[in-house]
Amino acid sequence: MPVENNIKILPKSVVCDESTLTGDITFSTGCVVHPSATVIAEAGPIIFGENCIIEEYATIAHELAEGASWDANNILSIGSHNVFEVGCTVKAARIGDKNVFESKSFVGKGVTVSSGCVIGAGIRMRTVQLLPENTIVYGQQALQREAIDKQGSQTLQIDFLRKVLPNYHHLRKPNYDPKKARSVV
Amino acid sequence: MSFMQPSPVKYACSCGILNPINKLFFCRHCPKLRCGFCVCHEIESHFCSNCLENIPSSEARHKKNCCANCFDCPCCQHTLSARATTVAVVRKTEEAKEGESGAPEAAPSPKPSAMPTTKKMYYLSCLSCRWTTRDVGIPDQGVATGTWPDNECLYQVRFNTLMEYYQTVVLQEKQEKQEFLRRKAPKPHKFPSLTDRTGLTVSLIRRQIGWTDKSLPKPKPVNITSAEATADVEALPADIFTQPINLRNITTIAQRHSQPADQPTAVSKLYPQRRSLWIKRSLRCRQCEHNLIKPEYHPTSIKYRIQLFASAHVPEVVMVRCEQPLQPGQSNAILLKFTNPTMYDMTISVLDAPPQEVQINADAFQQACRIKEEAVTSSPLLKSSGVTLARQNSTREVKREVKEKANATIVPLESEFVLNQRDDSKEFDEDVQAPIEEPKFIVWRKGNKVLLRLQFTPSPELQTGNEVTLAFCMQYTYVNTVTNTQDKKEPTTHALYSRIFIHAGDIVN
Amino acid sequence: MPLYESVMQEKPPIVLDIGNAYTKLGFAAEAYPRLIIPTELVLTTTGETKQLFDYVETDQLYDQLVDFLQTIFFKHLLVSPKERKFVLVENIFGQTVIRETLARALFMHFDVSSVLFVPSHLTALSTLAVNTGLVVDIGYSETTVMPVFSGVQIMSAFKDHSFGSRAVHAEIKRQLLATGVKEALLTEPVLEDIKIRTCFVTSLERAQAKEPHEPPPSVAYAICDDDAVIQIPGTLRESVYELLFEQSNERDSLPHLVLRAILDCNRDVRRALIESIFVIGGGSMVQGLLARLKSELQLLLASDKYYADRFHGELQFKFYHSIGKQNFTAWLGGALCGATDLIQSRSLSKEAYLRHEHVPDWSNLCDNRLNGN
Repeated sequence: MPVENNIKILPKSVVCDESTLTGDITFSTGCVVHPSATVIAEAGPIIFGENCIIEEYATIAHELAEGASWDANNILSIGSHNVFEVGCTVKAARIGDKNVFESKSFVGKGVTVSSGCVIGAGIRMRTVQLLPENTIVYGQQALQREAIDKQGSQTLQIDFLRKVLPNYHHLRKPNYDPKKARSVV
Repeated sequence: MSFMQPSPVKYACSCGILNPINKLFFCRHCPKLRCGFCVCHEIESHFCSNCLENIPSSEARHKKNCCANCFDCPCCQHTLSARATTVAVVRKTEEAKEGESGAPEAAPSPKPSAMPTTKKMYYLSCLSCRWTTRDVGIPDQGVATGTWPDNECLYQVRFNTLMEYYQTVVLQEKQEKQEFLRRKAPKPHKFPSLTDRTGLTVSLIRRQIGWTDKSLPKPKPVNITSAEATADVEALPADIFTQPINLRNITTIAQRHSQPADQPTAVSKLYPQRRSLWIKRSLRCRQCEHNLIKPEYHPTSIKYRIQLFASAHVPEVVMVRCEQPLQPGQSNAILLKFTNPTMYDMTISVLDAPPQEVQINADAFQQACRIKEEAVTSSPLLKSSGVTLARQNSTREVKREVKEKANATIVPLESEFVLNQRDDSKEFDEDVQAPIEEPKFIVWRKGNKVLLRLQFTPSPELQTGNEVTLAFCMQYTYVNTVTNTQDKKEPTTHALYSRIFIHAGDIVN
Repeated sequence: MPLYESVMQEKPPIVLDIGNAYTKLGFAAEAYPRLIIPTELVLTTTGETKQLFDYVETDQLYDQLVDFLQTIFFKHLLVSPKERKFVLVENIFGQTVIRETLARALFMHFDVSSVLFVPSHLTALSTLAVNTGLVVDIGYSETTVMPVFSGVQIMSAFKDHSFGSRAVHAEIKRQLLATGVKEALLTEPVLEDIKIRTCFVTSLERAQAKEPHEPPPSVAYAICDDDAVIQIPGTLRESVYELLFEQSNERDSLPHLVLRAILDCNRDVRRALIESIFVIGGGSMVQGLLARLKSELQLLLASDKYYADRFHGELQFKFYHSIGKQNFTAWLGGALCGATDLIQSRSLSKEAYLRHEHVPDWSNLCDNRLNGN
């Protein structure tokens, strides 16, 4: 069993209290975590980059391989500006920046998601593979194509959520300020 | 009614195909059941399913059945949506020049042209696969319904030449043939009449038709350059053996076929495709040419002007359950619920064979219908123009035998029973109906619904796992509210029947 | 010209080319088909997709054709078939039962006014404005070779063989199964997709090389139903089309078919045919096919004793290039034909059909007697 929950929330992040967070998780500045989102850091710490949105019923798991145990150096690092839409399940080995995981999509272990990728709604990716930059997986046959440029970041959406969510939900307080931490040291 | 799953109760349509009642229509004029196979489908109106705009059929034909404003994604065939972006406008060249020349004296002049202007530019984007018109290098457009590139056909000119060529050749051939026949044909009279010689009548007729007065110009032989066969054929590119291919840049067969004119193999050659229109369909009875279904004209309306669904006219039979597990050769009973959808009481009897005289009656009625119709359509105007509206002979579809075979014998109900009219207000009535003397096969009755018990015996030859099919004839009285003859205004009552097949379930061991 | 303006007046004839794999549909006098759709239908009873020509009895075929045509008219072409004129591009050696059933569905169920049957090989040549050529049609289920001279099909020299796209698909499947890919993954659409996106016809030198060349790069192909990534070996990519050129004692590979068809023709027309080969059909759209066919033909002419004895002089095989894509060349011919007055004079009209409920056929003696009916 990993160490007890150790959740670091940097300032300007909005993390709802009703979300399920287990393990060692770090949310960088500007992340938005909706209620009922689940993040499980079982095999090692998870670090979210800036401005990620994790919507309702999204599950992000850093799962233990068979026979392995908690390893503090086995970090799942998730880049910035990622969007995890409602009901997606992401167990990817590594996630870059500006990716969109659409509703009800499933990304299994061993999938490496680089940057600017879009996993379409309802698509299930299970086998070990690397998604090159700007890959878009879409449609019933889960066809892949390459976009010409990266998906725009969801700044407006984040600003809106940051305003609205505190009105209706209890939040977890940002508990880690890098400036203060530095000043303490 | 069973929803989203095949119904066990099927009605035999008058053409012999079995269908659940919700797929059947009822022609009030015949009066018979009709299904999608035995009616005549017609196109009522064209519309775009995306922008819901009604498009007249002549315009639809002109636009090749495509919407003028909506586009489909060439990549995933999803609808494209226009996206707006704001761009800082690079000032027009003359304005820029003017600005330059005017710069020394009045640099900070608040001319409107000197204001930093932004302009909305539009591009098309697919919300499913995120394809955009920028992917293939189509420049953004100033208006949302911009001039997006259309399918162009590289060989259109050649095709037109070919078409012209063949049209002339065929025409020439035809004229030569006529000429030949004319010359070959012996003169009908020894002494040609005066009009023939002067050609007066011919020119008169020609002028009436609107042709030029002259005889047809001799079609000049058209020259066309035939295609040249060449000995050099496209060789394989040398790098195909060494260069790895990127599947993402090669189109799939569906993408190619969505652009039939050029069928590109490279993803970069995909262009937005104009969205194909949809139609509203009206259905017409083949026998009596009356409309069964006629939708409202507007694309946004889902209502009908005429709707003759069978479920609004024919008693609905729902299978409730069998009393015992199905065993071959063992007497069993099935509970069936009958519902009367009409505003008139129905008298229903369940028989095991179609009543002979009823059939004749129905035919006689149909005959009567036809006579009446003839009377209406044979107005002198129509007659004189040689047009008859009653296109009776359009039905050539052969009536087929019902393929389904029943493998259980039923015990017909000993008497007929009455199914009360539908009365929506009765649902809310408090007072209980006074118990009346009911035949003993009726289990339960409420409003326009009756639950009854029908005894049957599955055939003794059936094996375990075989499906038991019951068949019976439901004879019912139907009150027709359409006036069939001018003199008789009150509704007429017909005794109709339908054959009903029920899949009761499998034999259990 | 008033005469054909009256033809083209309001309703252009519908042109249909119902192939074994794909159906080309559109209107006469248009330069490309409106749509190319798979020749299959969705059963209303079970919701399964089914091949149109997969049937047990004629009634079933009739019902399937009615369903299929119904979708074509009301979903794709959006025209009422009633009182319309039709051009049907047909395989001249096609089954009578299909032809008859199709005519019955059109005349009896859809009430069309006339149908003009045009033979696919001949009509394909018309798109070139030439009247002599050796038409090679590589389709889905078969490859056919038909010499045409001065607009007359030389029936006695017709050759066909069962290799077409279907055989290529089977070959891809066989080779992939041998590499250990699960059979359940290799459905027909997947095989087709692999074929059109990765495979090509290799060159003659490589095909005949004693020691194998370095194979072309292999491709990782993700099958998404089961989300498996399979490797398509480079050898597969270049070798699946070899079945068209396979050397065997039967001497029935594609080049042999072409040469034998030419040999079966009269001496006087052979040179003309050699210099006018026209390859059509969806199967011929693969990269490198023409180049390979040409070098194979030249090689056979030079090295095979049988052919060397019979062909003399300096011979150079020449090929026509189709206008438009090869997979709808026959359709295009039909569209040209439907734009002319032939639609009036040569069609089988409703009245004529209803008199005998029979479609006249070249192979039917009854229709070809002078006073036949």
